Amino acid sequence: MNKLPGILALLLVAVLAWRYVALPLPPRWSEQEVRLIQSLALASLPDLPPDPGNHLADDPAAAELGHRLYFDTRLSSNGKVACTSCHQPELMFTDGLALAMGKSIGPRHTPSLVGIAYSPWFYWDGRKDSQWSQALAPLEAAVEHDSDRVAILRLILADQRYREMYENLFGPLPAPDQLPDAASPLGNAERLATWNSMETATQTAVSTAFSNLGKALAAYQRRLLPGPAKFDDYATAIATDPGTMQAGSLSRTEVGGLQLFLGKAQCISCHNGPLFTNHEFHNTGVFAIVGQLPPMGRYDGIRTAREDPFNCLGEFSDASTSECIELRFARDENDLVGAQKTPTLRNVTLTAPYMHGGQFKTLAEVIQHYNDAPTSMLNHNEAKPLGLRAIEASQLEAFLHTLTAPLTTEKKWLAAPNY
Amino acid sequence: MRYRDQEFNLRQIISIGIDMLAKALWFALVLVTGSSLFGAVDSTMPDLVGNSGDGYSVKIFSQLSPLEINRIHSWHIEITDVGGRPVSNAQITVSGGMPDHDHGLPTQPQITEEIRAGTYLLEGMRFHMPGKWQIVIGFRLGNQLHSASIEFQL
Repeated sequence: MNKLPGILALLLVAVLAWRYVALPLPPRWSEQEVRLIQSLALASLPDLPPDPGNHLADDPAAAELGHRLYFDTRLSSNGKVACTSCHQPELMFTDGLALAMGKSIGPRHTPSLVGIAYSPWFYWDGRKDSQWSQALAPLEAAVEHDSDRVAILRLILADQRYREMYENLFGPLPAPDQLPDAASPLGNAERLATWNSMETATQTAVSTAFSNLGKALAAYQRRLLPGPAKFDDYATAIATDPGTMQAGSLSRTEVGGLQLFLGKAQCISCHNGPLFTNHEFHNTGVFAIVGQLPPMGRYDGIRTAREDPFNCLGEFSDASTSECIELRFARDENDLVGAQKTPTLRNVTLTAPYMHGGQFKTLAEVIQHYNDAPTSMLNHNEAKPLGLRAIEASQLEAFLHTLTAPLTTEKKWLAAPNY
Repeated sequence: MRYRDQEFNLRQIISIGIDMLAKALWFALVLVTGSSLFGAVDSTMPDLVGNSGDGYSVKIFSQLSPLEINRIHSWHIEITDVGGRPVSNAQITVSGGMPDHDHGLPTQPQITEEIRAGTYLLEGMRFHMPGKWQIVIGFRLGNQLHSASIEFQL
């Protein structure tokens, strides 16, 4: 009878220990783990892939024009919105909000731009197949810049510096006397009606010049690249003695988190390679954004990309058909319903909230979501419950904190131009 | 002493001379024969090999070698019959995925041309996860269907 409190106390200690005591680390990483760790290190990042659709992608003068456009609020209809309004340098080019706020609230969470030039697809649903083509869309989106291609070209024509920079790169702009004040095939009824009244040749000239501005914006944004973090120092340290677990730079908790990342938690299935993303699309059962239907995700995204006049195969692209491999051989099947793009985990501590709708405020909530792997509202959740103990979830979170570091990008690109 | 020193030097010089000559000859030999020889060895070493189970063999020469994740690339697929003869005009389908993860390929690769008799160009290959992958090369010859399944680790 008097043994019961003792047994209960022992049971309590056992339960608490199971949840909160870390397992001892094995003495060495396995060969496979060492290989995976090196594959995640920034040292394994290949050179920036070329953007065949943008012949000025690596041109410094194009990057300077893009830098100015990126920070210029005059590109918006109310004079208050620039690219940097949502993609803020100090937050790793995100905005800290659940849903983007341009001229009004948008339908999606703002993703980071850091290292995104490595991705073949843009937007959460991959509806754009190049960085230059992506850069055009916010300018004409009602909830973002809410401007239109003609109004923007009029600004470039009127600003002498812009005009010179543009014409040095791309040749003459369309003559202003041929242009209405505002028009776009993607605009509101009024802009659309004006667009439809324009001659085809003028429409093409306008869209060509507009696509060139996208190419300049991309030439700038391509330069936003991640720098080596604590994790990368660790990968370098263990490279000299493969198999050693404790080689400085990471704590035991962080090393434990890395081991879970590669193994039990299966994060590496999608968050792989030196940017911690496979640039692919997955349905992971994230709940719909409040007030919205569950999105179709990549299933619709690939269809939109194929029909986009600004895609790799379109008349405004500088790429040959043989260079548009991603677009030509993209999958479009039913399992892509509800699939969203895997985001990078580099600098993830600075890019909260998380997921395509900013559904989770903290990394702990994200880890809990993957631990639970709830049934998807649309299609099926590719992830399975992980069975992580509380201590393991916190080890994993600690590891994610080792991926934050200043960008390698030259400082002058990280603030509004003053040159 | 002086004489002996000179003799030693002479010997040393001759020995270095012979060594250099040998190295130069070896280098010339490698230049003349090696590049084509090693080139030929490379091109006959496929990245992956499979069999149809009914006599056909499939060799895969990846244009991204060694294979790695997250990079789109092309394959040359060589099909030969039981006698080792190239198989032309095959209607080929390529599918695959990760058996442990219950998903397919991230892209829809396609054969775009037969670049020489029995060797086909497959464009749009990409792998997006480390782990065990399985690729199934199916090919139709007349009314007959054949297939070779290949498993490998990335």
